[in-house]
Amino acid sequence: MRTRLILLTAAFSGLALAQSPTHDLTGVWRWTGRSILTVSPDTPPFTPPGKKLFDANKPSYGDRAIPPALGNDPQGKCDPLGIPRILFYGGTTTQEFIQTKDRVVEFFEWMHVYRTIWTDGRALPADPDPTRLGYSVGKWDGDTFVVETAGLIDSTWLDHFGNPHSDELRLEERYRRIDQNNLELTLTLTDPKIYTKPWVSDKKTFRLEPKIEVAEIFCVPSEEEAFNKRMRDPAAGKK
Amino acid sequence: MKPRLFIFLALATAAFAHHGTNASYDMDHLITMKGTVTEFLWINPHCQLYFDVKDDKGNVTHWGGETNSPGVLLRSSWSKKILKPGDEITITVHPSRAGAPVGVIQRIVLPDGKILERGSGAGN
Repeated sequence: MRTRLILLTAAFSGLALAQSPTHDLTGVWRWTGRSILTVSPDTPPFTPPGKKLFDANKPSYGDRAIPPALGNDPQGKCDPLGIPRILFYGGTTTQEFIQTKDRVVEFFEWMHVYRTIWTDGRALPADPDPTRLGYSVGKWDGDTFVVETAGLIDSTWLDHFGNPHSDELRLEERYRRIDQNNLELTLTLTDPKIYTKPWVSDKKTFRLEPKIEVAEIFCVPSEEEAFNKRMRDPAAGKK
Repeated sequence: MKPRLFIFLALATAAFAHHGTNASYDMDHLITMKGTVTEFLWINPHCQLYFDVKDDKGNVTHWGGETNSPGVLLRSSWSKKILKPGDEITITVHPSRAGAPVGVIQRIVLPDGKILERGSGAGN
């Protein structure tokens, strides 16, 4: 009896060791270094409609940057960044993964927003209603958590540089926990309405931050508006 | 002279690529002033400090400085009560490109000598 118990205990311990942390993203993660705020430096060529949308967007980052007070970045009014843009926001703020038996919740400290990634085996809906965070399903492929997302509304910007996307954007995220404290992410974006070929990201890296508690960092529209009038507009020479 | 100018512009463009605030503020330069705090706003997503600076002739200019959100600043020794009206401070900012009396806060020396550094970024 005792032998059986020991064997049983050993088997369960082995199972726990095999699954953790390989199939567990739980925790608060912070970018190592600063995010480049987009997929990769190599933006694929635009389609003609994609180029038109890109030209209409006036960002405050990158080679085309103008002061926020003179641009039209939705972030300037605290509009939700949406997926995938919020995935690239990093440096000062964190994101937390919370796992339950049928979903992974990814909580973004910046803007205090969460997304649901369904892990109960369901497929992506054929034609999901477009939303800012889209519809996401995830599954483990060996040691990699693979998330597929569709149903993304086209009014959000893809990144801080004013790159656009359409509601046909499909996103694949691959999260791999390389050890207890380090996580890697690579993304592939496919949006034939806007880009002439898929956009594959560079490797994004995150470090586990067990001592950090996620703070309440809302973008408060009324406070942002007052801030723009008092600070950013004068800073840009706009009266 | 021309090649030097070109190199300067190239460096400026490289820095430009990674800072949203760089479009409004000159992140390559810093100015330091002595001032008197008039208002400290501990709000999201940008905390703001307003202060008066007196020049040699006694003229007072009202300045504003922006920084991170409260949640981020709490991780860098800041707090809601660390600055209050009347505090005499020495403050270093990246100034507005347009020449307005506003800037991004880089460092503040408090009346007791304690130093507040900017957080690890200037938010959005």
